[in-house]
Amino acid sequence: MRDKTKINHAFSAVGKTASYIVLLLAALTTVFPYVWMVLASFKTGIEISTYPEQIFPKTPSFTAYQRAFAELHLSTGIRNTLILELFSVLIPPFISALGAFAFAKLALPCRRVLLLTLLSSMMIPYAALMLPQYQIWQSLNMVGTLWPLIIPNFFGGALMTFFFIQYMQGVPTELFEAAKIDGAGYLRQFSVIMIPMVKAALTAQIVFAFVGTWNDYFIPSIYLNKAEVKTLQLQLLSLQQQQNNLMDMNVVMAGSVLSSIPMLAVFIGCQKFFVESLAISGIKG
Amino acid sequence: MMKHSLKTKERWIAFGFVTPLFVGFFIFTVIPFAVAILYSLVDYMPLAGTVSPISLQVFVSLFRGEYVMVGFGKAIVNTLIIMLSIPLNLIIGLLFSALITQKWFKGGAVLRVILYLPAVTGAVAITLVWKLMFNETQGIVNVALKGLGLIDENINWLGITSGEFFPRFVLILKNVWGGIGGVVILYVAGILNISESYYEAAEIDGASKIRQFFAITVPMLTPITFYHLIVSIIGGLQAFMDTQLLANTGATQTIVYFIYDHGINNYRYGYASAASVLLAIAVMIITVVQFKLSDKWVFSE
Repeated sequence: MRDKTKINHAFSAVGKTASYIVLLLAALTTVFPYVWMVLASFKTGIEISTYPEQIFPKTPSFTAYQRAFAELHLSTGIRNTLILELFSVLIPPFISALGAFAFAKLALPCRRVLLLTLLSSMMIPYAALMLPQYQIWQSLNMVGTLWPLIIPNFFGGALMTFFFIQYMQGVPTELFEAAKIDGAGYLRQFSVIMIPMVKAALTAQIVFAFVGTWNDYFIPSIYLNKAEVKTLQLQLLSLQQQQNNLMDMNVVMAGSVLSSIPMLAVFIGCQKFFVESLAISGIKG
Repeated sequence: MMKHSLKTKERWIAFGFVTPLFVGFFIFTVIPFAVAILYSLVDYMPLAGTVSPISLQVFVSLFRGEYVMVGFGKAIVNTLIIMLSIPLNLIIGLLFSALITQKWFKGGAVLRVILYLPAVTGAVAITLVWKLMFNETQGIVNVALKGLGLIDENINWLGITSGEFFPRFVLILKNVWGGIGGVVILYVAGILNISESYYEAAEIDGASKIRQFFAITVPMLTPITFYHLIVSIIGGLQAFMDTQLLANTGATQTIVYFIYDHGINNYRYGYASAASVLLAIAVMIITVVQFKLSDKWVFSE
């Protein structure tokens, strides 16, 4: 009996060590491309293109950063990205939440049909709408401006609305009835009672909107075809397309580092928000 | 009377609150989708300005591969192969989550943040680093594999001259690398949500840790697995960026790349629209079937 527990103990020690090793390797693999990005950005053009490439730059060189600063339209990119962030973070969560409030707590007629309609819209992929939507913006002369990415925000989002409906159904209806008796209007019930009750869900959607807009590539690449309207991601891509030589990859990596720093800083600063936001989306959704 | 008018007022206000959602739905989904269906039926080419009589000809030639860059059938196969990353993500993510949530495990919070990093930081920057790392002649991956004596010849990771396997492998690997973190966060939250009493009861019955994992943890997590499957299958069917920026080969061109290439690059709106309508139908069928089947395997309290 005593021997058996000993064996169990030894086994679990081996198991624990193995677990730590596996997860440590996973963490290192995740981080490696970032480390490589930083290392490559400090190499000279010759270092990055000699074979075999050395892991560490001999003496860290800032020439790649000087060129990246000159060639990457960093401030224009950040400005455009932030303009889009402003609209996508401030507007759709509230439009969607207001719609969800009507679905969850008000006497909305044809509730079921409207809900199914909304659900069906989530199943139509963007690729199927891409060309006709493009023609709409073209006829409005808005291709090459930020408008095709700003205007749709004012109509909320189906997925977001669903997410909020799920949450709002859990909020006790008595709260609103009490407010009604006190003479509070519907907008007031929404902003004073409902919003504070679903704060976590709202934060989650804001975080998702922020990350989604920051990393968005496909739709912006269709509409933002001029340097002055390109987002940070697209500016980085233009920088890469201007370098056709392996010797210039250090400049591309320096640009990649520069363009990653803002989001990395936000993520590390607010990591709790990010993790919690995703965590609640799975449990409720 | 008073009560009646109050109810009517509430209805109108409720309608008002959902109006933006449905106006947007009409302008940005209903109209464009109807137009896309129309384009696919008349083989619309905006540059030539031509339309053919209404027919299903475009759909037929789509599958016969009569007008091809990469055939539509091949694009479907490519997309499905790259989606192998979905089950891999779920299995590896579940394993990691089970380890992280063990009482003896230290550093779980930090690990979750690290694994989630690729999902948050600049998508384009990451893709460009991968491109550098998997470069055929200079990339660190080939250099390292050669240094370890695992390969003699450089592998063409991002092209197909070493075989179709390699570019697909890189895209699957990148999806797993970038996707594990999200799965782990969802599963860890789910595991921490499972009541301790289930495990205590199992312990009393003498069930081993492994048995507890399969009999309690896995079934209790099925709602999360279901949610993630739906989201990642719909997302996987719409993969595009890695093809365009990382490995643009005949083995990795996806359905959405096919649509983009025919529509935006070559102004074949009819073909692009036909492919996109089929994609939409596939997404709808898969979603509905998944919801129907969910009763059979998704745990609900």
